[in-house]
Amino acid sequence: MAAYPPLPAAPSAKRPSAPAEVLLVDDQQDSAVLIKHYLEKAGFMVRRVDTGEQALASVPVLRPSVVLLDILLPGIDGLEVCRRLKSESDTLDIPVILVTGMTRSEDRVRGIEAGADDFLSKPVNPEELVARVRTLARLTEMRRALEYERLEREVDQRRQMQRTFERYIAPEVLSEVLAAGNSPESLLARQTRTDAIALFADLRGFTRMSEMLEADRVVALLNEFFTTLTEVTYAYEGTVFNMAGDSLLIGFNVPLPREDSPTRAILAACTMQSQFQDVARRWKTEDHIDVGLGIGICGGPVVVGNVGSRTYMTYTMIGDAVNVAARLMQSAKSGEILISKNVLDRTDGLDAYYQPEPIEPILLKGKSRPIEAYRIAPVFADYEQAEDAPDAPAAAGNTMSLALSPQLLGDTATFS
Amino acid sequence: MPAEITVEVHEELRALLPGFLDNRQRDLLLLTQSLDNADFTAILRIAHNLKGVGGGYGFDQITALGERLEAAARSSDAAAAATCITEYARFLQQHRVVFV
Repeated sequence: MAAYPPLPAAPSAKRPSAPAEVLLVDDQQDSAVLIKHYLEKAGFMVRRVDTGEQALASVPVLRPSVVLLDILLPGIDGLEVCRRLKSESDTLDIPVILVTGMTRSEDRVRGIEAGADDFLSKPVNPEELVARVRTLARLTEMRRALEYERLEREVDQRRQMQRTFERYIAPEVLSEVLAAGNSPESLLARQTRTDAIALFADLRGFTRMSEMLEADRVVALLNEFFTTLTEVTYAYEGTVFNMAGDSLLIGFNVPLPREDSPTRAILAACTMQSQFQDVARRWKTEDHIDVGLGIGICGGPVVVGNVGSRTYMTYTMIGDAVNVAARLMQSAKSGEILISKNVLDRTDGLDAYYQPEPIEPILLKGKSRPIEAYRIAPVFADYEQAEDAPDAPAAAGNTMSLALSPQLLGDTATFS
Repeated sequence: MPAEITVEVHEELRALLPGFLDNRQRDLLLLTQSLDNADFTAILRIAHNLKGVGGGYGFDQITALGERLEAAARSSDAAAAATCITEYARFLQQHRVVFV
């Protein structure tokens, strides 16, 4: 089984830490030395660049707490640097103090228009310099601390959401969902109408088994039953929607479409029967209980999404196809797979393996036309008969490799 | 013997002062050359820096001179600029630093 995709990365924001960093942009050596001296004395870490170009390159990388920006710079001047920093989403939140020898009010107005947060006049008064830098640096640190907390909370929520989602869908599908830039929460939050194949699997003989065995043993066996079926589901990239009592609802073609989903559904059902037969045999020896598996499959339009109340939500699949699959499952005998015609018709070339046999059309409440369906049973005998065919599975227990055969997957008509 | 001009500089700037004064001598040289070439743009830039940097080190006289020289350069007034530069040269020669 493939490794689970990595969990969301840690927050990219800098963890707030002392001392606060100041980027000083000043080409004038004596002025820069003096400002650096006072700020370092006040506990700040000061980096200096000489030009506007260097400032524009450094700020997004260093993300200082404050930028002290001289207006008169060679090349791009301080006002333009300020304007550009304030127009970029990754730097606009960094406070800029314009340091200027210009005293005219129109110069300050230009500074305000460029987005400057504060001004300092040259010659710089040490107390005023430190006070203004400290105030803005504190604001930056507070904002970053809040942002860091928010990101940490968000990552926690995402991790939790991803873990929840991992319970429903195959790891490969989850990797694909995440690689496509989707977030698990966006998939969970979205209600979508789509074509899907519903597969219902039910443990036959469960009532008798729960009467005969101790509760602990019943739970242990049920866990084994669900584990076996879930692993098969994941191998065929299906999604587990519901686990209730002794039955399981599985969807194919959701949340990501797979052209060969009808084939996947049938192969999954056959594999479930095959693998559960081994389990049932062992249970019979160990616990003297007689159980089997009944499966119903139907395809059609469904609604997939998070359904429930504010306090209890579940990711589920709703639609006629689900109801019909449930009905087919109820009609299936132990070891049988009943499949609707609309799914079987989309698995060209597989009839040789399954030898489907039409059953009496099933009438559903509220439906004028009966559902046409087929029986695939006994599954294992069919596989053995198909042994001579090229690329056919050698034995029922080997159906996992059958699923990966390109002759069988990816070549079937789309389900619609 | 010309009269001394006393400048009070904060003790904590003692280590920075030699560099500051070296640069002021360099500025004087550049100003003289720029005046000879009537390069008022260069004078304006240096004057602006003098205005900005002098007071920070305790040299308020340099800030005041820088301000006057900046005005002279802005109006391309060579005579006024020459006067300022002469005063600046005299100041650099006559000042005496006292650390406080």
